[in-house]
Amino acid sequence: MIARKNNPWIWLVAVGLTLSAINAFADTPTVNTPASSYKPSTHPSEPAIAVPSTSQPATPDQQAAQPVEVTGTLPIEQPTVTPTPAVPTPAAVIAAPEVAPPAPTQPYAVGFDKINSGDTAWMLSSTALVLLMTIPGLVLFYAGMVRKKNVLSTALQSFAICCLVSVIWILIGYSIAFTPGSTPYLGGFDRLMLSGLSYIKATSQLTVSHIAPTIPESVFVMFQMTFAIITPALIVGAFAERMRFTAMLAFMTLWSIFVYAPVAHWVWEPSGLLASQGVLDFAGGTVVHINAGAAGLVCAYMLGPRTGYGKVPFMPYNLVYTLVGASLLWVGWFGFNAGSAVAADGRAGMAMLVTQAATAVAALTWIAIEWFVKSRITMLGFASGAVAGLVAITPASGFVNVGGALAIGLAAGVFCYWGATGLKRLLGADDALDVFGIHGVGGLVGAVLTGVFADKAISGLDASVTMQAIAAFGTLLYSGVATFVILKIVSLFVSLRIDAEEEHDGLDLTQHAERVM
Amino acid sequence: MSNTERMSVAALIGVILRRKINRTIDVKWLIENEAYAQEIIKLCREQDLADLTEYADHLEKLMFPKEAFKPSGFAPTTFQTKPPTIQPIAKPIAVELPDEIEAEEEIANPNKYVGGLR
Repeated sequence: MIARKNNPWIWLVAVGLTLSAINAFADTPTVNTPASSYKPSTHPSEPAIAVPSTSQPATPDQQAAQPVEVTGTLPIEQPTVTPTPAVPTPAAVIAAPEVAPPAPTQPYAVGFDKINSGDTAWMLSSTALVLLMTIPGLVLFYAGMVRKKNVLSTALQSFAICCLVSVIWILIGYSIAFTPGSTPYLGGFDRLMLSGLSYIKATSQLTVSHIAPTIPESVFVMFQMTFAIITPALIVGAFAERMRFTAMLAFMTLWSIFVYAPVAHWVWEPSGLLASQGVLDFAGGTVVHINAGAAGLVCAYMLGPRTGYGKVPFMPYNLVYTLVGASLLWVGWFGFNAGSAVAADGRAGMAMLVTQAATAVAALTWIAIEWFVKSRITMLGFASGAVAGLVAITPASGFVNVGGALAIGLAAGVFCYWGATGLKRLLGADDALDVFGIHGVGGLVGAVLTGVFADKAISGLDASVTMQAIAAFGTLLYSGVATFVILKIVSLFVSLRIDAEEEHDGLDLTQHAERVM
Repeated sequence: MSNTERMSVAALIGVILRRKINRTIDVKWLIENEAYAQEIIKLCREQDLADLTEYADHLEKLMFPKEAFKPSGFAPTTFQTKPPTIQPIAKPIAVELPDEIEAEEEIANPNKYVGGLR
């Protein structure tokens, strides 16, 4: 296997060079709008600095809750701001009284009246929808595709990751992903164990994130937690039917901390490495899908193929489960994409519309190719095509119009079909459920095409295909190398793979002493 | 008593017997036939293996939960329709249910699902 033959230090150096190249490229004047002219935005993928909205009318309850005078409690914090270099020109001096106050760059406290109830309601719903994508969406999607003797194990892995990552996100993940740090590579440690996050009824105060100033920070933490959960859960499909459960838990713990959270910081925190260079990723094409796809491919190489791979058929247990799972993913994806607007507004509506359009086209494209190649239309083909479309539209959903969505859906159907068939054979890895073929390839297609089809009328932002490609492939490389290192570390303490007899008997029985009747 | 739990324990016994003494048993028949179950439980205890004895005890509890409370004169019904078969085999086989085997035989295209699902 490639990963076993090559020296890992070569890959580490390559990642370092890529990151340096991204930094260097940022100094060129061709990338997007300069920071000084960014418009206020509520979306984390935009490098704009968000300004708390005061135009939304408060509800009567909120008005009633507004304290007339706050005594004996902590005052509302003054938002921390990034100092702007002063240019003492006469015009600036004259205009000084009219200049808006600098925008906050880290979480801060506000009164209840600053919270938009419509946005909050939508984000609460979106959070539930994204969690629904993992449990039970992904659980069913994957469980239906593995052999009967591994169904429970595969389902349990996603469920266990949900519990594990929830705790990790609270302890450290959120802080290093969504607070500014001293470098663009990693966030700060101010929110470890969510310290500082507060809701104080007595003084009508609560904290908000500088990325989403119209919703409580608690809701933002939860919303982002569901993304942190589904990303490692996607990787499960690559090493299905052969990874030791304890090794899987150890790997996912380290991966969430050292891969997911840093990449989320790069892309979604305004001061992050890629966000600050104008890279666009509305809902996680790079953070979620490229990241998971690369990790899945490396896992597949490192663990080696399943016994009998390429020689005997691996019967999927029940493809109805897979279709039900894909359907739940589709529905949940509206929370994923439209929820990433972090507001109940027209842009969220556009994101929902383009999501539906791209998904439908991708599914139809996939089955058209299948009909052409195999003279059959399969249920698995429909489900796979739909997921491919959902993946590809993810980074573009807040930036493209319907025409762009249809084109992205078409490309997703073509490239992901190739990814799950031709490219899979070319790579030679036993990526059991085609995590790289669909999520990796679909994520790359979506990330690059976001640069092609981004409509400035929707987001107010320009896009650069070059920067999109650099960010996408840079993330692919970082995720792959970091995954390799983490697997090596875990393998020092626990065997990654079950032995041949255990594999023969199935993970359900040997790992969990249970089995499907 | 859930059939799932019985099947789970029976399958574990089947795996251990095959590994330790190279004997295969009919797992499905084990949870359906009381006489066969008693023979297998006895066989497990004779091996003097801690884990096997533990599973045998567990299976006994699941299969015969109220043995001690049966009224006198009650004759346990047996559903034995075929003699228990415990034979050593040369090559180990998997604990596999008949429907699994049937499903694999029903594949229209023998190359389908070989080397990939899609």
